[in-house]
Amino acid sequence: MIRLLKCEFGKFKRTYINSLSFLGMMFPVFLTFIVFLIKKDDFVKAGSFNWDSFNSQLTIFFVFLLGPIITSFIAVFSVYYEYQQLTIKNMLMAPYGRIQVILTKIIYVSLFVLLQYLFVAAANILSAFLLGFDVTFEKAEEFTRQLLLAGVSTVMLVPLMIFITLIFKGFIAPMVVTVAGTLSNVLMLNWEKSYLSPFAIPADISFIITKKTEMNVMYPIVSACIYFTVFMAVVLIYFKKADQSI
Amino acid sequence: MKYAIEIENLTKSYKGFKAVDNLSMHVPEGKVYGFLGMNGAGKTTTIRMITGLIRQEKGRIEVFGRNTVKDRLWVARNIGAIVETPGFYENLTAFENLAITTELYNVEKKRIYEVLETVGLSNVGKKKAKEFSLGMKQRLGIANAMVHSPKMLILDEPTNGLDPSGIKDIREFLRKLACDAGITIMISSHILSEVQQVADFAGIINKGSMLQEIDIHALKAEGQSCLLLEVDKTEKALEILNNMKLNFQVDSGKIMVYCSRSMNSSISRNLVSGDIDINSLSPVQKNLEDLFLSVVEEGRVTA
Repeated sequence: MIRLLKCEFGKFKRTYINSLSFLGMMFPVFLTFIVFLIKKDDFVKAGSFNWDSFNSQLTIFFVFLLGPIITSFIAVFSVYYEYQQLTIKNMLMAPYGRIQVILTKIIYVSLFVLLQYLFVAAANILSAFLLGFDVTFEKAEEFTRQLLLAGVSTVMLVPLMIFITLIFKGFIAPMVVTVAGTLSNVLMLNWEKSYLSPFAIPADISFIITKKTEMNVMYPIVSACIYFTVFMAVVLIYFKKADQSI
Repeated sequence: MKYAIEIENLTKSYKGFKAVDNLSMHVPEGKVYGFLGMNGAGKTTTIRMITGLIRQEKGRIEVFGRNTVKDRLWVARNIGAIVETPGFYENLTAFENLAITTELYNVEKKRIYEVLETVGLSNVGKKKAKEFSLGMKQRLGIANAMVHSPKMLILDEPTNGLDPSGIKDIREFLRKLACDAGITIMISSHILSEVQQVADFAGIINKGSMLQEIDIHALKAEGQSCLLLEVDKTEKALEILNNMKLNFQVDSGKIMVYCSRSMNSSISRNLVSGDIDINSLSPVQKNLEDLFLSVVEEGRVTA
């Protein structure tokens, strides 16, 4: 399994997905930073030139929108690329069980996504320093935990996206599902049962941590666990049973 | 005879269409086996089932005596294969692509240099796969299939898209590999002349069924498909051949007599005793193409 995982990290070297997804993940931090820098006076007047306000903007832009989209993008690409390059055959002919092959892919994407969320959390702290906010250890810990928990709950989308890509063996269908799912987050913003949508769970958890909603934290957590288990079971069974006719 | 691959009653259907129908096949160990069939005959589907890419519906496949379903991991470790077009990560160099495979099969990296040397790509190891020509990709595909030193290579149309010199190179390379390393090689192809030059045995598949398995050396030794005669008195010669109850046809004054090599001497004796001068008597060698066409045609008639 470790060998498979090393291969996963090796095969995406120099692909545009690495740099593009990293830039995409960093974009909300960068944009929020620029906005706070340019509109500093307005924010000061409104009394919101502080890290809480910065983090709220970042949460809406990153956790709510770009994070799930880019996570799905990485998950879809990791499978689609194997079909596009016809290397899926090499993977399936290697002396590993099919479940090991697909499970490794899910683990690789999850680790890669969490690493990027960690970078965003670090960039969040760095931005706070650069903008001259009052940076305390407690706040840094709280916001980092919030972003990493959002990352963990976003990873729940990985098996779903991989499953859709395996079925359609293409890029478009899973990305349409992702965009539709993420855009529906906007409609669910004030819905008390938004945790029913897998795309809204990361934002729900973030809002609960930063006390922007009074939703019971167990709802999105239980929902995330159910979705993850179901998507995982479906993708493992499908990949084990289906013929790979590429 | 020991078999590297033994298949019995293999069947696979797609939406009611039988792509492989009750196929049985025997690939002798240490030999080159040509898997022949027209496009859509079921060659690639069979190879996919041997390599575990798709599941068989019915039947049994054994590789070196191991069942491909029960002992899949052992079989995977001992087979190297290219199924249709070889797949590579185009963002990576040839060396990096092979490094992925060495990692998968737990093989030392130094083996990469050996296989690149074997397939004649040692000077382009640092070139990205996307910059490779079709011929180079085929060679890299073979290197990739060989990097874990399998006991058997399965190559699906390995000369597809290659120019004549590339085809010759691959042919010589495969022959050398079978002779020197004792690796069993199975090549699927629809180019019969190519298989005849490289293979020891061949199996002819049509509409998913194995029509015949042939020992190519025996076919060559068996000799002629017909005897070509040029005589001074054609009419009289035809009368004698008719009396001998032989099948023949006349084309531009030449007589083609369909008979085995053992009949040649009695034909010439009868013609000479009939006062006919034989200007030329040449046996026409039997080839795989003739056999393939007759077997496929016979299969059609039977069906």
